[in-house]
Amino acid sequence: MAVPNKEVVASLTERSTDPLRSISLSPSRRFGVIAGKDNLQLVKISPDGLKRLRLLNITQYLQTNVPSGERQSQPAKYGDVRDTFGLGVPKQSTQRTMSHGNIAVTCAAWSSLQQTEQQASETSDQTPSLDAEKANSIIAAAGSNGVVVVWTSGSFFPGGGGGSMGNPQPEGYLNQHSRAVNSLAWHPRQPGLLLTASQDATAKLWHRKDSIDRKGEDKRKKSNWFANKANTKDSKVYQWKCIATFKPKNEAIRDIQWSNFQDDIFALVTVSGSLIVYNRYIGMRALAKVAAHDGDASCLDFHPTQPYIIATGGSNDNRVKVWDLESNITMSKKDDHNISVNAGTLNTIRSETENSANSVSSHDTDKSTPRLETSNSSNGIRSLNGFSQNSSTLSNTTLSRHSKVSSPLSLHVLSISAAVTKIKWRPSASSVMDDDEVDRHESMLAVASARQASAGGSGVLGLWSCDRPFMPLSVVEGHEKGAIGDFVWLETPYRNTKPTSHPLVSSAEPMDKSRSGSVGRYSPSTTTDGTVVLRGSLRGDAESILFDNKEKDDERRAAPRIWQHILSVGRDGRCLVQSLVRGERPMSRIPPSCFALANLSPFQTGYGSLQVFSVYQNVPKGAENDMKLTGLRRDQYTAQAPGIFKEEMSDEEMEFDRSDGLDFFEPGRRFPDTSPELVFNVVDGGKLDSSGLPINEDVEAICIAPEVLHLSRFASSYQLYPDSELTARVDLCLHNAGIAENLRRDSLARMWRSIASMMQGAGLDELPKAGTSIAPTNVMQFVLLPTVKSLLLERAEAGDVQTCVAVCEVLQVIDSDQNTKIPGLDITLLREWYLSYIDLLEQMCLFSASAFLIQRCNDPVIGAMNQNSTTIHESCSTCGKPLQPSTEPGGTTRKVCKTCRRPVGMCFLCHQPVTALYVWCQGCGHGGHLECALKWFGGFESEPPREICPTGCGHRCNFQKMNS
Amino acid sequence: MQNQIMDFSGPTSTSKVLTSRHQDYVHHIAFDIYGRRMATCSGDRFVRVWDLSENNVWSLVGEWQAHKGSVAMLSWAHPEFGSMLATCGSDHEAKIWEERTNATSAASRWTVKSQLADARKAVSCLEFSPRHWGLKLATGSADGCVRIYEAVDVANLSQWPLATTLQCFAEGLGVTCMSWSSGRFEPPTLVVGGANPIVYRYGEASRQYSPLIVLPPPAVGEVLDIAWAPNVGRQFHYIASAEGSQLRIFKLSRKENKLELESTQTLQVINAWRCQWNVTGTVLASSGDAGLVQLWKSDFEGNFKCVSKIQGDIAQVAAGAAAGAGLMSP
Repeated sequence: MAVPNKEVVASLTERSTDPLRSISLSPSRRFGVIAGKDNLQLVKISPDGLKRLRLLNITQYLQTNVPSGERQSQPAKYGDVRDTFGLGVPKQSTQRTMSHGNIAVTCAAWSSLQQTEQQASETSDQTPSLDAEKANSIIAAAGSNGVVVVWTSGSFFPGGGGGSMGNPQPEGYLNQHSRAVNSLAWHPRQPGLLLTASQDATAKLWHRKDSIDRKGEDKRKKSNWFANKANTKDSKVYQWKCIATFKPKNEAIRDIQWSNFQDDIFALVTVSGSLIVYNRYIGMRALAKVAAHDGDASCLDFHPTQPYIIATGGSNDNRVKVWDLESNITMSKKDDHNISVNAGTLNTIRSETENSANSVSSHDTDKSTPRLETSNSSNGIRSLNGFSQNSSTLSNTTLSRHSKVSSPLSLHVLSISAAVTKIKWRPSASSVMDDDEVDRHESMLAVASARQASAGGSGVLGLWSCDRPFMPLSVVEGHEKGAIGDFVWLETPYRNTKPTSHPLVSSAEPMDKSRSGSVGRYSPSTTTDGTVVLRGSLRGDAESILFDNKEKDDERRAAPRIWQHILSVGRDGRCLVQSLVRGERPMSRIPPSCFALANLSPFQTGYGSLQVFSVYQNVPKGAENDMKLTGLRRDQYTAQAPGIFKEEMSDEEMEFDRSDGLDFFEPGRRFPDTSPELVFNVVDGGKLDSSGLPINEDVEAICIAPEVLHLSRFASSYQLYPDSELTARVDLCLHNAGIAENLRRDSLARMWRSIASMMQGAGLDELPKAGTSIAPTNVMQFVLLPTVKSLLLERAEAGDVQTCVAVCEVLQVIDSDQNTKIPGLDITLLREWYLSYIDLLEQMCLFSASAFLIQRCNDPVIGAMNQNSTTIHESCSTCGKPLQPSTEPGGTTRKVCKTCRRPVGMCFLCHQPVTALYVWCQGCGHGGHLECALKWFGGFESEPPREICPTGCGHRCNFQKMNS
Repeated sequence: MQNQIMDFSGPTSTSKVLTSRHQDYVHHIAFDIYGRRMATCSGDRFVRVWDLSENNVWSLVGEWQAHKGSVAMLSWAHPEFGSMLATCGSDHEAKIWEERTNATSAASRWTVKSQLADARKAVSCLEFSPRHWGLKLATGSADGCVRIYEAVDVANLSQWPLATTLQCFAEGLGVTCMSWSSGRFEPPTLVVGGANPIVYRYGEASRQYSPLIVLPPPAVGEVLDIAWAPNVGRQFHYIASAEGSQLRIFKLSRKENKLELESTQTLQVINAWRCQWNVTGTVLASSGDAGLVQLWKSDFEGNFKCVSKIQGDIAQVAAGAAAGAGLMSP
């Protein structure tokens, strides 16, 4: 019965039986590696969809406890036997499976191995070739036993260096963690730098290093030579070494990530909710420690375009918080000194990553002198992007930051309704389009959440804006069973005027360009001219600041960046591409106006009238607002996108002129910007004169519901039963007619008069008994019953049950045998009138009127209503036992409790028997005369008010009074 | 914290404005049965309860975070069962709240009695049944189901067993609104709105709810709000359905306890987001764009006509007040 999810645009046909944990894209973003329970899957991402290229069981690599030297020889030894990859090839050895059974792959990460500068020059004119990607990238996978295995990616591709079904030769084993590795982070710019965060409370920094002359490595080198032809073109053999260990707290680290701007900065979150920022050269002291979340902080993400903004997600407190750590991250002079000292000891690394390292140092020195300018310019950027809070104080803190760093406050808190499992900033979608349009809402987060943190429930992925902290802008729920383990953003390719062989690659091209404009070019000369424009860059492997540069600009124009698809893997074993464009917009469910309607209660002036609370709120809806709000587009660009990325425009969107109203939604504008206002109105009614009668000339009076307007007045003044003054029913009718006339209900008055005249004409004072078939003696008798019946039905149609009931009571339509005296009028219908009327009376707080009606009604069903739930059980106030009925003959009142033999019904204050009103405390059961109680508790007769029971039982009987 | 108060002098005073104090859009407003209390719920996860005090001032008496996500709707229980509220929200839950009379602060005044977490998606609507059918609560969810809970023991409000689950619409099509019938001597009946309105009735013989009438879907979109008119002894039922650009009123005859669609009237409106009947089921109110609340009433021929408009837009109210106009615009 389920409707297929429209937001899922592609899925991997092979559905894994085990939960998928992690996904990482290749540098070109054309391939992805997915970590399953015991395997890695290589997936090709193209406009045609997802295709699995390879499934590789890797527990064999992870399963090892031997020292690194021996371990490295293991794969060669067992390689052929353990050839378990390839599609659908089952595990071959049950014995081995068992031994591997406890090890699960926790994380996978793919990174480029190319130097950034090098790559930029290579790819300036052509797209990165597949071969280059095979050769120049590296994949790491971590296991639940703490082992991290690194491969060059060439060996993963079928037909690549490792042979079509060959076992990829791991390049290194990183085996220093004692417990599961939770997260891996490749450095975005410096190849071969890997951070691992583990359950064992440590984070380690690993470095890939040439190892030429090591003993006992000849053999391995040789096999490597043949196996990894593609990636060992320089014939180097690499060795992995842990170069730093960070132990921020004695608790597991959940997620770790490099800064996108500062080469040495990385941040991590721990299981108790701390966000900790380190400089990699300063392992002793963290740059910042923030208690970010209550309980588990599950993930973090650096903002792609703003250097000091970090978002963290909590899986326990269901929040995403956005932090500004500028004052913590920008370093003090002391730190600079530390770095220079430390950097000397780490010369080897520096030489290897010479270009980037140089750029780092120049960046550092640049920063240390014109610090004020850089901070100012970043302020400008921040306010531009909606992070304007705090900015006025920033220059102060940057100047004095070497002294004491103030604890940062979260800029934004998003309240996700479920546990947050993963967050990713949306890569900046802002770019100058052909029509100079700027996508204004770029600071958005994709948040994956799970109903229960462990398992079950659907994996929800929402697009959140910091301006809408309580509700996502778009929601996709493709993972119906199971939380989302990991996800990545996919850029929407499109066909532009420039012919390209591969749309995905063409869109990836500017990314590589952006690397050339990396941090090293962050010079004061460009910041002072005030034309700094932050531009888009790719999350994860390349982030940059681009400047207002003519050539770049032209290229940018050709490549608008659209990010609206998400590739996710989940616990349900599925790998999906979902389109946020097609996701549900919770905003569309918000009513732009809503209201509540009720009668004014009897405690308000003019009751009987209607009161209305209404709220009007300008909820931005519809296609024209959707793009502005969400940045998700369905326009001529996306209509040109190939395959799964194509989003055709709807008719509504075709009509919408996007140049309109762009100013209405400024970036960073929170909406609603003010608290919604409730407007209170009273309708109906009309003024009453001093005697409580309506004023005829009242122009404002609009009688909307006449049957309700004077219901209370009619209820109190109608006379329904004969008494000493009005003995005949005809008189009753005439009396009631007069009342109706007074209240300006002329039609009702006429009705009562006509009933009266018919009764008079018929010569009857009551309706004939039901079933009596005495022939009518005159015409009036003949017409009386049908006329009354039609009158009653007419009033009932109008909702005027009050008149129906009044007529029925005056004429005694119901006799005591539960029959109606009017033929054709069903007793159940009459009861409905009665019950509705009683309900109405009670709703208007006219309880005595309803009780009186119930009491006088002939119908036993109605009359019994007074006896519902009316049993009172008494118990002795001394011993608490129920009072037994007296056994003495003729004795109905009990003077003494049979259980404790104490007198019952004595006043707690004056100790006299209570004969009149007896009040008692529900709490302790003591009570007495009303006067005595008032005297004791109420503070009358110059007595101070008290709370404690006068019997001395210690109960604070007067609790209510005290509070009010 | 100073409570926001609002004063009004009498029934003919012009509109008064009360700041909701919600940080997000208000999703629903509901009066209690006596019209002395009012509760609002909002996207900011909070519910606020306002009381009318004796000097005609609405004051805030309760505010608390009710859900982990936005609160879509709330419903007051009949006071016979105590001071009780039900709320539902985007965190897939419906909750029952009871007022504590001895609370010291507005935040602690309401305590949760029960959490109904059966829905697989956001719970979009809920309503307590009329009291003559006992203490029942129906919830409608975006997973296409209406769930009916029943408090078996009225004295124990923490026990709300799930009595029935009705899969009204397919999984991807949610229930957007629902409303109980108030027919007194009829079996429990309710109408569910979504892609189209469906009337469900409890069958005494089959002991389950089954679809009785499937009403035609709206011209465009889906049903946004539906309201079953209180029946005070009429021979027919009215169901109003707000569907964006139109407002439909279904007239169902109920001869010999059989429900049949007798006629449908379609009112063209600028927009209809919410609709509600008055206590006697004679006046229908609908709210549309610019906060306009329109009141509709049947004329002698049985056709509903707009009899009054209440301007809810504050700006226009202010303009009207400045011009010395009354609360009603022509």
